[in-house]
Amino acid sequence: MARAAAALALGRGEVDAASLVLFRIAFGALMTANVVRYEAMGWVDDLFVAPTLAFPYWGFEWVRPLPAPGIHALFALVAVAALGIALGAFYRLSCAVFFLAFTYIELIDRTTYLNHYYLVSVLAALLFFMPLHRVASVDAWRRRRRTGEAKPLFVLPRWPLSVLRLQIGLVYVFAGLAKVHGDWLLAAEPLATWLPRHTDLPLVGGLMDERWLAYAMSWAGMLFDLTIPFWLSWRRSRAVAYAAVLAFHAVTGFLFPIGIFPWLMSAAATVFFEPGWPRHFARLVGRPRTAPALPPTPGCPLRPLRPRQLFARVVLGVHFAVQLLLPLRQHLYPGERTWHEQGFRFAWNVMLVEKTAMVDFRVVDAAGGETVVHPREILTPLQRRMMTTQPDMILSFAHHLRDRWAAEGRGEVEVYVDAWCALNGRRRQRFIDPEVDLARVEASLAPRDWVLPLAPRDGR
Amino acid sequence: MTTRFLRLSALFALPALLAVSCGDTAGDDFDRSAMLRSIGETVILPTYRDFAAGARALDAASAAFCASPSAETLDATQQAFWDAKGFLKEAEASAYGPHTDNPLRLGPRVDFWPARTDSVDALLAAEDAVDAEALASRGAGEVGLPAIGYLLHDPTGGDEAVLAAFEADARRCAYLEGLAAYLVESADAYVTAWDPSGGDHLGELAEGRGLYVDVFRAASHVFEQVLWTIENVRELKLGKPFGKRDGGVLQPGQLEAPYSGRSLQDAIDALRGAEAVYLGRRGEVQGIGLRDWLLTRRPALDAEVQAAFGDAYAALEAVEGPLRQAIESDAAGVEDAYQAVKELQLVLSVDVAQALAITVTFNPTDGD
Repeated sequence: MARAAAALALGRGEVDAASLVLFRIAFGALMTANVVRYEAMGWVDDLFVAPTLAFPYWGFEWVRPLPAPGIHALFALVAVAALGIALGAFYRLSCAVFFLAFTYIELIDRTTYLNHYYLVSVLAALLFFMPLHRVASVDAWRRRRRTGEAKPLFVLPRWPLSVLRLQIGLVYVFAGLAKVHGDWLLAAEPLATWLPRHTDLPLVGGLMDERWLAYAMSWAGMLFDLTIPFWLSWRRSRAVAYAAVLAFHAVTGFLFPIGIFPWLMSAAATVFFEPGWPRHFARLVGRPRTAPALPPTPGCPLRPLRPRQLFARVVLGVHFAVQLLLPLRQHLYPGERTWHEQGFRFAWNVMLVEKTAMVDFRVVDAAGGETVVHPREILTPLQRRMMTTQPDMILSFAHHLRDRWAAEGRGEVEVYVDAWCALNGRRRQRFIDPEVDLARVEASLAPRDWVLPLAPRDGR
Repeated sequence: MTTRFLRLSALFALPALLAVSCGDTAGDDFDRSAMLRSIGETVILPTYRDFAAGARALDAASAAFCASPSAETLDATQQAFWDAKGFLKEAEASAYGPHTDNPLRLGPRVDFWPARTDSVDALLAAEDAVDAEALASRGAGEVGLPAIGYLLHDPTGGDEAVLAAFEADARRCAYLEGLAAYLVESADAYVTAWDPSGGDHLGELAEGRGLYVDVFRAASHVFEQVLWTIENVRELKLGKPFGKRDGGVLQPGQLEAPYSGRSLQDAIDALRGAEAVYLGRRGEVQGIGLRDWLLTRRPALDAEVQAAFGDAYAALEAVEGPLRQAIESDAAGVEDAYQAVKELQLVLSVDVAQALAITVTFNPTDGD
């Protein structure tokens, strides 16, 4: 008995496939819709064609922007692959193509970094290893036609469900931990800054600049993120918890421009339900489907893992070790993480920062001539906004200027910045040490001593 | 059980306590739509009406000058040009909608600077028609106030050289009159486009319709144009000719109005327009401006903004102009003006934008 329980905990055995199949379909359909949305809004051109300069990630400088036809083709490939995932058609190939193409797009420019697109890449990578196409898929249908096999039981291995639960749970919990922060809890920032944007709303507009609401939403948001995986996992609280999930994501999706995130998380939260939960709804609409008779859970002794299974376990182990350590790395750096933003990406720091900034770049040539470079001449408005608020992008832009001067045969230069930034309702402060020649500072993982420390919050 | 209840109560009471203790910016009920309408009615539309009246005065003065060229009629035409341009520079702070967007896109038709003197000279030397109707289909470098400024002024030879040039070539007067008449048409088009009884762009802005999507984004747009105007004053009107972008090498060819000697005044007028939108006040007429919005969010900042405007004017007026000479003879004065405008830009683009929660970008893609 104890062995069987252990097997279940480890994700061995099989479960009703309904929940996992629905997740596969929802993920693929959402991603397809997202590509259509990007094209319809003209964002592919705005974000990936219009820029004359990109900000690739450290270590991924080899990822280059594509010309317009190339990037549109890549988006089309993402859509086709996402559709393949939804339908379970050429599933492994679709997962691989989706992951590679989507991640390539995300790696082109740090300007476009979004937590939920990082989550999409992570989920796509996990889906590649999960055999979610074994049932209710084009692949299963093709296989049956090819081999004449009988229709398989509507079951899938348990471990994909466990893996998805762990992954989604980590996202929520780390997002909650990130909100255990002075600005968020003690100053209700940045919600106190953001909510008054919506005072023009009918009925509730009058509440939007009430400070108590910002505090209530900040604390509720923190508690929600920290605990929701557990409420969803507990059968007795599940219905209320999921109603809260829908309400939470509906409100945040309505108030803030966070794209598909609310839809993605609303779909992802269903992995915490019983594996056969969609059958309840099938019954409600009068199309009952009987739950499959599950094969017995491996009894004792447990069979030794086959090499492929062992490899998959190792990969998953490494994956979750990375998932645990990546969000924690920001705490290794001294100073205020929302200010210097070291280790800030890939750490589920969702909706924590409102920054406004202004940066002038001063290029000094060997003869002492000074040129002031205004970023607006080179960057798109979005790139400019992101660059001026993120130190690593400021450094990259300084390096771009250094390299540009050299490429034009204008010799070695020094690059200094006059950078000012306001964070989460604070007054502006000098952001970068104006005496540091950024042309000589190399990008690295070391603490950035050229980012000036954030002064304590003053009065309003 | 009791202990757990107390703990839970404390947890939920904490935010409420914090809210009460930090509630200094709560509950302003500021009506941004009313602010936008007021800015439109108090600042934008009157500025364009003044510009249209100025264009008519310039048209009349040009006709009088061409009918009877003399030092007096030239002086009157130059004065009319100066006045009309002042109104257009004030309107830079509201240079969106019909100014930038198709189908009207009036901006390049009235103010494509620096003057493309080669284009103007080439059209003078050609035999193409130069009446208002013909000019409507000519390139932006051949029309608008910069071209008129070039025809009416000669910083080297003075008014005598201008008069001599007009007397030597009758086509010059025909071109001037055509330019002035076309300017009237363009100025009228601005008024019609903004007027609630015409294109009602004012209503579109105030209600956050069309391109503005909603009222907050419309208000953000108005604020961003104020910022853009101030940034242009610093970077284009002052910094560029001063060599800021070119290793300190002066670029007199980048002056906004080198022929009329109006470059500094252009900068001042543009700031006046930005200040009018901020204050919601033009002349003696006081409406609701961005300042009133800021007062509901971070009142202490207003004094800084107004002081920064004052410092910028003082620094610009202290420059021993015209700017084409000052960039050489009064470098310290130009540098002071540049820095003063930068301070104004800084307080608005960082502190005020933070207080008003305006994300300074026109790109509305997803966040976080």
